[in-house]
Amino acid sequence: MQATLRKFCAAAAFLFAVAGNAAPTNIDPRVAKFDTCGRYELFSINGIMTNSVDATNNLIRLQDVYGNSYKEHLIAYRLAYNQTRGMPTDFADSAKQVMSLYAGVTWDIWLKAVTFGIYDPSLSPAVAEAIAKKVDDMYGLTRPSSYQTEDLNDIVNAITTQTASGKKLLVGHSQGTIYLSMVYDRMVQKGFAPNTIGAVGIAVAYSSIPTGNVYVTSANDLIVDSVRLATLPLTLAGAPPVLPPTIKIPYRPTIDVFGHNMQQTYLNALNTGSIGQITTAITREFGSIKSPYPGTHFPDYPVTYASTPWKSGCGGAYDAVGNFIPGPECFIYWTVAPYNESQYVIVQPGSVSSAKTAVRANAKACYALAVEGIKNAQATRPPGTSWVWFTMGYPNNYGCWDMVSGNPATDYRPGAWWLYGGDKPPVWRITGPLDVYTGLVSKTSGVVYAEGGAVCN
Amino acid sequence: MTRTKALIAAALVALAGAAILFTESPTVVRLRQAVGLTSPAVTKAAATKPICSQVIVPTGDCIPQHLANLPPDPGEAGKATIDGIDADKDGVRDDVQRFIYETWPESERARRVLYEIAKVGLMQVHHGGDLGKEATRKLAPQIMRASICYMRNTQSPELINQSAGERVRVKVTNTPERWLRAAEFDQHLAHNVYELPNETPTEACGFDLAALPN
Repeated sequence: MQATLRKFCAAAAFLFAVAGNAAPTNIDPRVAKFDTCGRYELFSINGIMTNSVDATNNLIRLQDVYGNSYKEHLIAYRLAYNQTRGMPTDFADSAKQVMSLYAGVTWDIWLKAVTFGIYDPSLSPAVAEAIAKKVDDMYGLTRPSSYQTEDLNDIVNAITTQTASGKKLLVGHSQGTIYLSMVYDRMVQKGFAPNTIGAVGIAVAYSSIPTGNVYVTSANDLIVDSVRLATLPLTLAGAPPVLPPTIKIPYRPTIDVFGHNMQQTYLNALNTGSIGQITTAITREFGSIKSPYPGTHFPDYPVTYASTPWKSGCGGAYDAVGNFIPGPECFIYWTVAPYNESQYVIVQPGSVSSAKTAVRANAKACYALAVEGIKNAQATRPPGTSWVWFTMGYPNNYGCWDMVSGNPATDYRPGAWWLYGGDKPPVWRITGPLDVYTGLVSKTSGVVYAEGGAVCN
Repeated sequence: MTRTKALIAAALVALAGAAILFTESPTVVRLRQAVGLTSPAVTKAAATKPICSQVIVPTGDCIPQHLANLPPDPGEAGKATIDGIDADKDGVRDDVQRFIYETWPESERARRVLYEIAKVGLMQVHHGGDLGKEATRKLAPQIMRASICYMRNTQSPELINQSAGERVRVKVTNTPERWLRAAEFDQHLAHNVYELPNETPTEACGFDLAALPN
């Protein structure tokens, strides 16, 4: 119990300490890094009785406040839509029961009371209390979940099989956090390593969140407050308490009477404090999720990378049918750079398969570039320039190279490299985003093959 | 203090502010009109008035342009069937159309994006649980596009703070039967994963929001 308390206090303290910068991180998708080690995926799990439009709105708001990327990788935003089986029927039946018992209660009055917490002035306190009691019983946040195994299997299958292998972050709101916990447990049961899944709770009415209680709850959240009060006897008897608030979001009853709504309260542009905590929590979890791939990973890219050569102006000419004939001092520049988390390149002759074999035999995370007709690689930096000129070839470049980006004197950055700073961009025939380019020079035409890999963990 | 009491306390705190938005008593309706939250509904008597020459007219001497061509209020007859009445065949039920036009008279942009929200809600009511899981799930991108349209325009922060989308939804599901149909549709969507489309608001809306006058 004390350990649990320490854990969530530590998490809360972390959030208080580092929350602040809430600016979304948006990048041009065309320059996003290639996800060799798995894509960053955010699954938004809605709370109880949230219709699909509202659940989608919440997801969009999450993307708007966090941005489309994490460390220059695009994030896939996905809705893991959750609805309690049988709940709609219960809801409609409850409404009909209240309408038949109390004169003057209409469907409109019921729906506004339940949806917005706004009770028609014509209602007596007794009727208002009866409606609230009905809703309270129906929502049953303090009761065990009635999710069925079939539903859980469906959502877990959707998360794990319909989407690519990735670094999965589950973000739950309200009662969606209990669903989140069940999905997390089920994924771990299915063999997913716990450290490949992250979890963030928003408006949490429960005692824990998987992966270390990373969450945001407002002290002015009346729904969570009411659950805290309702479960107080259990807490006093030794049960774990509902997680404490991490922030006091200003109470704005004309916008959200319960102080609980994701769009109107937690992600409302007016509430920069909660947005800061939520974005910090997401960043923290993304930062701690491990790649599902062990060690070095060579994805099975579906294509051979082949670039359109860029021809320097050095005396070359086009022949009658459009082929470029290089002059004696003229190189054809090939650009090849499937994204890699690491910064190594192997150049060798041959085909993709032979390059792959060689790289794997070398047991390092490298690009294997099989460049026909290229020999004698070297790396030089022209005086006064901020970029590095690489030439490479075989057979003397058998091994992995560290690459340099920008000004090598001041900007050594393992993991990222390019060569044509400000130069004409290459044209690729591959699919998928690329974030770096390197240049390979050749005096001959041909195809440049590439196979990418990365050190993922 | 029980949870129920807490909820009621919260509701009462909000009541004064919220009443102005949702109640229909003559006093409140007049107050709403006075503060510009709504324009007067077009009544049979008003229908005889000329259409105003300006876009927004504060007096009651003419029918505001944005209300001029609205279909009549279908009243209770509009609740007789699941799909209700759409006399002008614009894809949105007449009572919902009138609600949107009367509640957001000052912004064409707001009306257009709320129309998109209304359309997907009406689609859900129409289909209910009839399509089955597979066919229903194929309609998810349509819902997501409407959401992008609603959430990513210059009016969005204001609309979110007004719970505009939810209010339109409440109007769309204004009978237990309609509400249940929409919920059945969502039940088919549930327990599955949907990727947010990478679309601009203009692509998602199907029209250029920036080109609208207000």
